[in-house]
Amino acid sequence: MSLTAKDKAAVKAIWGKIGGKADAIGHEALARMLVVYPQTKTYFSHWQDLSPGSAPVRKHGKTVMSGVAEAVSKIDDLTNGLLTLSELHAFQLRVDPANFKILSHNLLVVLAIQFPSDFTPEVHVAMDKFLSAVALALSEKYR
Amino acid sequence: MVEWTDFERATIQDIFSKMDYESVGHNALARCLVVYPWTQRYFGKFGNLYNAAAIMGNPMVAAHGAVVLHGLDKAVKNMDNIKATYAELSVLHSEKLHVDPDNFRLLADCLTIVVASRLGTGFTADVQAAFQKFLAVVGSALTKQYH
Repeated sequence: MSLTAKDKAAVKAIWGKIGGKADAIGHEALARMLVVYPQTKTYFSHWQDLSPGSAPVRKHGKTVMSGVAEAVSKIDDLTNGLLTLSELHAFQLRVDPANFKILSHNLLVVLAIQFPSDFTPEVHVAMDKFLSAVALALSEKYR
Repeated sequence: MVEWTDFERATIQDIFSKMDYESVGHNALARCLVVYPWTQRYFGKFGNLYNAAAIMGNPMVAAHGAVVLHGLDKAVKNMDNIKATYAELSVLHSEKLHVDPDNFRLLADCLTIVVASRLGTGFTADVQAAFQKFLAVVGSALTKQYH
C-alpha cells in the first residue's frame, strides 16, 4: 500500500490548505484522542491537565504536527527521513504503535470537520495511506 | 449490558433524529469503498466501482448505503437491547453475507468522518466518543453470532 504520485500530490495539496492552522489541528486531534480513547491518557500522567484547551495539550499538538510537517517534506523517503523520530518513539517514548492508528483517525476526523468540501474520499484515502506510512516509519526502530 | 449515560443517549438520539439517512448512508458507504478498496469484495454485483467518481455516482451504492443506515435505526430505538436486536442480522452477516467483522469497524470510521463533516464543530470530542461507542456496540452485536 505504498504512496502513488497521486497520493503524494493530494497530501501536499491538503497540507498547503492546512497552512497556519496546523497547530490548532494538532491540538484538536490530540484533545479528541484523549477524550475518545481514554487509554491514551496513560502516556501523559506527567501532565497536570489533560483537558482540551490546556497548555500541555496545545503544546504537544504543535509538537506532533511539526513531526507530520517533517513527514510531508520527506514524503519520498519516510523510513530514512523519520529515523531520528523513530528512535525517539522506540527507545524513549515507547508508545505502543497501535496508538499511531488512533491518533491518525482523530487527525482525519478534524480534517473532515475543518475542510468538509476539500476532504473528499480521494483526499481521505491519500491521507490515510500517508499517515499509515508515517506510522510504519515511526515503528522502524522498535524491534 | 451496555451502560449508557444520559449524555450518550441524548447525543445518539439527537444525531439520528437530524440525520439525512440517504445522503449520509450513501456517502459513508462510498467513502468506505474508496478508502478501503478491499471492501469492494462484497459488492461484486454492483457494477462499476473502478474509481472514486464511479463509486460515488453508483446508484446501487447509494441505495445500499441508505439500507445500512436505516439498519442502524434498530439500535437507536433499542439502545438497551442492541445485542438481541441484532441477533438475526448477525447471523445474516456471518452465514449468508460472509462479511469479515473488521469491516464493521471500517464502515464505522467512515460514518464517523461523514457525520463529523456534516456537524462541524458541533461534533465535539464528547459527541464523537458517544457516537463511536454506539457504533462499536453495534459492531460487537453484529459479530456476536459469528462462529
